[in-house]
Amino acid sequence: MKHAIVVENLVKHYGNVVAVDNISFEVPKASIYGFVGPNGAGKTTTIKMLCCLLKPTSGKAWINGIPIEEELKIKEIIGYLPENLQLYKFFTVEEHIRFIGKLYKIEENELKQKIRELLETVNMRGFRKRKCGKLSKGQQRRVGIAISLINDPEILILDEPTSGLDPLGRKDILNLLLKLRSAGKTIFLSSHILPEISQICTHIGVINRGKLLFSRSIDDLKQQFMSLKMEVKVEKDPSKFIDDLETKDWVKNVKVENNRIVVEVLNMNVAKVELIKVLAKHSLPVVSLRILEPNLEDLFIKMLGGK
Amino acid sequence: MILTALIWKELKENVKAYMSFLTIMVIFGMLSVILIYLMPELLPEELKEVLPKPTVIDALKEFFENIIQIGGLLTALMASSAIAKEIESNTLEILLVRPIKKEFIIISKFISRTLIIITSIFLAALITWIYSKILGEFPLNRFLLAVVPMLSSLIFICSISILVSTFSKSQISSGAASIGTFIILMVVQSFTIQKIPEGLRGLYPLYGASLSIKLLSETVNLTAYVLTTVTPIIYSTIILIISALIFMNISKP
Repeated sequence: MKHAIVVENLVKHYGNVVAVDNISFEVPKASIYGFVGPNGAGKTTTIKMLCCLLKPTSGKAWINGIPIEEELKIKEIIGYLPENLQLYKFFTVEEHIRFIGKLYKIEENELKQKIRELLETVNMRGFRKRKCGKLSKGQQRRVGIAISLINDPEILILDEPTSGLDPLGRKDILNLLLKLRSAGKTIFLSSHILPEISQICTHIGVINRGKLLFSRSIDDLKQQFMSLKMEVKVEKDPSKFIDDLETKDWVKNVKVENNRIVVEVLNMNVAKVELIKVLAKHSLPVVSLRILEPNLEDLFIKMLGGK
Repeated sequence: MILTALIWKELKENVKAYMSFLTIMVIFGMLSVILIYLMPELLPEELKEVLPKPTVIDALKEFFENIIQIGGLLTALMASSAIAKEIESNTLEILLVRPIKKEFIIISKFISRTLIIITSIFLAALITWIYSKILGEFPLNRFLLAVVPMLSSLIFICSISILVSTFSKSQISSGAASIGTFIILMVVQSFTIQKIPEGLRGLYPLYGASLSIKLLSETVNLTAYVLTTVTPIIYSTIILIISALIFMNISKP
């Protein structure tokens, strides 16, 4: 089986409101799939259906080949971190993880070992005796991730895992997710923060108003929307160079900001050769020359038709 | 293992509420004796002559009257938070996403509360009995036997409050509805009980305390004792099944 998650024509209605509108996508095994969309797009509803916390109005989904109707089996194999995670405040970190472990019928000896490992993984070993109610939001998220890993799930479903975290806490969580992926876990996470997605995800699905706009690998996406922009930084006044560039038929547009020139081209392969020739012709001392990598945010806007 | 873990979680979560329940029960138990003991001192001289001297039975009767009222209210309050608290604090999802049967959640909440009710009432009864010695002797076994029917009634209040809790979204509404239900049941019982043949009074779920009081000074036949003790437990079981079904339906994906 190639896919950890398969979703087919999933629909969820709340009365007359269509929260999720006939979406289909696949999440390859050992990938990090970013499920992106603005607030209220249908991300959490989809996640809750995958975690058997909500029943779809229609459509089907499988996790590791198991249909989501088989609630108990699905719950055995997934780890889930809700967006608004609320831990039991009266438990210490260690007690909380132990309690959840017991719900998976993990024996005490194995549990002890797992708790130690998980606290290490989420970097919370020093806080094991601290009451969950006294943890910062970032620490609570980390405990939440530890809890979601207690049953050693192959698939982790995380709803806005970095929500409400400071940049440092966010970086910690993202690094942790990369670590988990390298350990072979499939991670399905929702977010509305695109830079975060582009940093760690291998695949992306974009949802808006309940409809899935697209679902594909980041590499495919970058390939399809390959950049057609080159950036040149020069030491001298580039006005003559720019005048010359604007006459070339492979140039679409030129933008200048002091000595930084961004050239939008029609054909990158031609531009790679010709631009250097023009630079040489004007004997301009070059500080740097590079192809601008497409940024996910730009791609996202491009795919949404610039809206 | 799962049920034990859930019960442990409940006990730990509600330790403050449970300790308060236990303390209040013990204090009220002791107060019942002290109040009866000091009553003659509090009365005017002319009444002292008229009223009979308080006895140990008066003190123990006072215990049952206090416990069914105060204990009943506190039980309703304590059990009303069962599900509502989890919904209000958004912690229910932590449990619902685990591979556990949902009815275990309801059962664990009932068992933990029942355990604390039984412990508190027996402890309060024991301390009351020790204190009651200042007024005279009463056989402990007979007193503890009298405690059992009242305990059954409290367990019934616990189960009905858990049922109310499964409908409620907040602890306040659940608490108010549970207390309201308890008061209504008490009022209905007090107005209608005399119309019911004595042998069938045990079918009233809150008749336990009345029988407990009766047992202090009269002999009660075994059938009435068993009926009064077992009926609230049967009702509780039915109510718990309904609660579990409602809860499973509410939390159904």
